[in-house]
Amino acid sequence: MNEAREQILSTIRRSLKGGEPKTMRRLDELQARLSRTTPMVQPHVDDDLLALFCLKHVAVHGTYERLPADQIEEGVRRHLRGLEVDPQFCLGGGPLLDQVAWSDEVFTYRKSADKDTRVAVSEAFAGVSETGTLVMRSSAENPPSHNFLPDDHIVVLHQQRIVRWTEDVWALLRKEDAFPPRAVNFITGPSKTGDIEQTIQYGAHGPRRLHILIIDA
Amino acid sequence: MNAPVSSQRVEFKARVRNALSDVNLQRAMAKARGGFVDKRREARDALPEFDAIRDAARDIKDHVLANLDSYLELYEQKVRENGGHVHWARDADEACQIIADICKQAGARTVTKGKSMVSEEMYLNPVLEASGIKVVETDLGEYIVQLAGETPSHIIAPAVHKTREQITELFHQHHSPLGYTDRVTQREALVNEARSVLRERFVSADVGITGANFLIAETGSNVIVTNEGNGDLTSSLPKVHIVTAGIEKVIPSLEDLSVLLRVLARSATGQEFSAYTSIYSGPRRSQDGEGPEEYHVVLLDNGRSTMLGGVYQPMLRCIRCGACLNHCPVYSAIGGHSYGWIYPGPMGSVLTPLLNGFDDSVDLPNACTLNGRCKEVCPVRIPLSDLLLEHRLEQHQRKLTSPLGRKILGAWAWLAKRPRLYQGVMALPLWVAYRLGHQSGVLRRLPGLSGWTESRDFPTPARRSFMRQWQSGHRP
Amino acid sequence: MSVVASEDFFSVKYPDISARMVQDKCADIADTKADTILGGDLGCLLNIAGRLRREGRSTRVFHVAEVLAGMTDGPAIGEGDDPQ
Repeated sequence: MNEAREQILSTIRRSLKGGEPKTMRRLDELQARLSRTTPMVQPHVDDDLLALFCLKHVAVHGTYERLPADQIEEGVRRHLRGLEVDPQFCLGGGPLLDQVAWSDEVFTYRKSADKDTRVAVSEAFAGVSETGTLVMRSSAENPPSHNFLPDDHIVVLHQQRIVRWTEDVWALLRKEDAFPPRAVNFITGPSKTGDIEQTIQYGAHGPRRLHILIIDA
Repeated sequence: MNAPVSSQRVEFKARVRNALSDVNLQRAMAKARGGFVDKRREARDALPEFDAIRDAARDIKDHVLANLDSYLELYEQKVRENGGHVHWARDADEACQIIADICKQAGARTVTKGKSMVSEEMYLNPVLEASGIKVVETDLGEYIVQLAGETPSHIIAPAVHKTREQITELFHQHHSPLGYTDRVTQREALVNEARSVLRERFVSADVGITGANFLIAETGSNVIVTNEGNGDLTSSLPKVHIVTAGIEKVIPSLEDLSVLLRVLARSATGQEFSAYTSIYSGPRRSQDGEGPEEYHVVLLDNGRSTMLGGVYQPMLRCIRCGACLNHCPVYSAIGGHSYGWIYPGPMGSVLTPLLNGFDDSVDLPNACTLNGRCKEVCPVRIPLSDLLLEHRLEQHQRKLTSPLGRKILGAWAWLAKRPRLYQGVMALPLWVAYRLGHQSGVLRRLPGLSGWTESRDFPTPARRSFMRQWQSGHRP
Repeated sequence: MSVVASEDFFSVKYPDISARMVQDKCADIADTKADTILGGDLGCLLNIAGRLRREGRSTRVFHVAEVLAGMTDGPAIGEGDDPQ
């Protein structure tokens, strides 16, 4: 294997002329570019991040409701009642969800989702206004299976975690202890496919519906 | 390399003939035509910075290619720090061997795959199947072509050539033994049936193999972009995750990723962002309750390293969005399989001769009208039509084209460089053609050009050419 | 406007692909109900004019230079000396 590695790298160097590995100075320059975190060209995004986030989220077939933090359970139950689904779900964690004292009316599971999981309730790490995207960061209490296996995914997002651009997410992620986490999932609307007659059909392999509870500051 | 379809000259023309007379293919392509184009245009129009972002995307890719050795080493180091393994493969056979060995080590019986064009390039599935492993494609389009025993005809819409009726039949045939005995015809029902069948596969797979839209040197991550979520289920559920990627997929940092993501989905499907964009960095962490225990990356060269530093280097910027296919009138007429190898359309016509051999792909750079739409829409500004011309030049120099054709071209080139002589020499045939057709303005038949006159008339020249009218003082 | 550009000898080298493309193009032209179409590539215009004539359509085809030079009083591409 090492033979393949050396041969590929030396062919690259030969093709790029020079043929020699980079000088230390050149490597330092590349390292400097890597650790430079200034964004490059970004699209204009209006100051009302929440409004744009909601607009973009609805445009990709998502639904949402704005709530104060003490009404999360009611929001979840109301949404599930509307779908005629029992209030039992895989539950993730985070600053908002950890503070909910769930009543006896709901059944929560702290485990990975499986193929029969109907609902998962998660907390987003952040939201991106630019595209109406949720950012899910994997951790012990937030396994990625919650994002992809249920039919219905309900995501709690604090309004103040809505940032302007994806670049702002990198800044937030780099501040966390475990960087990079195993998985960062950007979610923009429910699962869909255009593979049959190039026509969009929702609920391909992932959630059929995506509902966000936006928690007001 | 064991190419299943060779693309020799005769065969290309035969494949084209079949494609043009394939009613299902033509129906499916007619249905797809225009959809991607309109959606991309809307997405572009909604983003005033689009062209500036394309420039930045091109610059990022150029910067990486100019320093590819260093970025690959930086990337490899980070993957190791995350607890993953990096494997280097010089060619398809080596890559298949590496992957087969990992699967064997894992005792794999079932492998799920997220869509990966590079694994198509490796001919991976037959190799795994030969060692007794069941391979399940999970992208719906790729699943459909797998059931049909075919390969993708489009790099992002693998089953674009299939009609709904054909999909109904495929599902009926393959799902009946699983208990799905009803023949479903509606789109929603078809998608639901596939969801239900593939769900079982996702949760029972031992190894998941995905491609990578990008590899990030800063974090040692692979990025995978899908709409279905199949790539994520493939990455997260099995105990081993294998990422396959060409060596050109590495980019420096997350900031670079932001730029490239802004052009990728818009160019591919006209979406601002695909439903799922995921960044995976190694195996599960000790505190994680799920995720793969092993994380492997197989980096494939397969001819890419020799493209660096030469005239075709810009092709390595390609982010596999498919925009050039969607905007190519030739692709839309003949479909992806006519091209004879896994990469079709303009990007395929440039890549195939470079990765799969010049001799067997003489037609590809020629079967192009040079209308330039591919170059116009490319998110990383690859001068595709110019590179196709480069190929033609190279064919000419390597004498891969017909001797008669080369003589005619040579004579014409000589003449065209002498405008006065050119006009003098052309006057006679033009006058003859005028005399033959001046009443109707067209010839219904033309000896030697029956291919043309079979389906259209041949317009004959006017009595006095534009140049002569202009020179004699005709002015508005 | 979309393209059927028929560079150099594309329509001669690959007449069947070109025929498929020009048929689609002429169907699109018919849908627009335009009586005149302009283009900037002579190969492309010959191809379209030839197909339109074969289909028996009277849509006129000019090179954009003919319009700029004020020469549209003469025959269009594929029209004889005595246009019907």
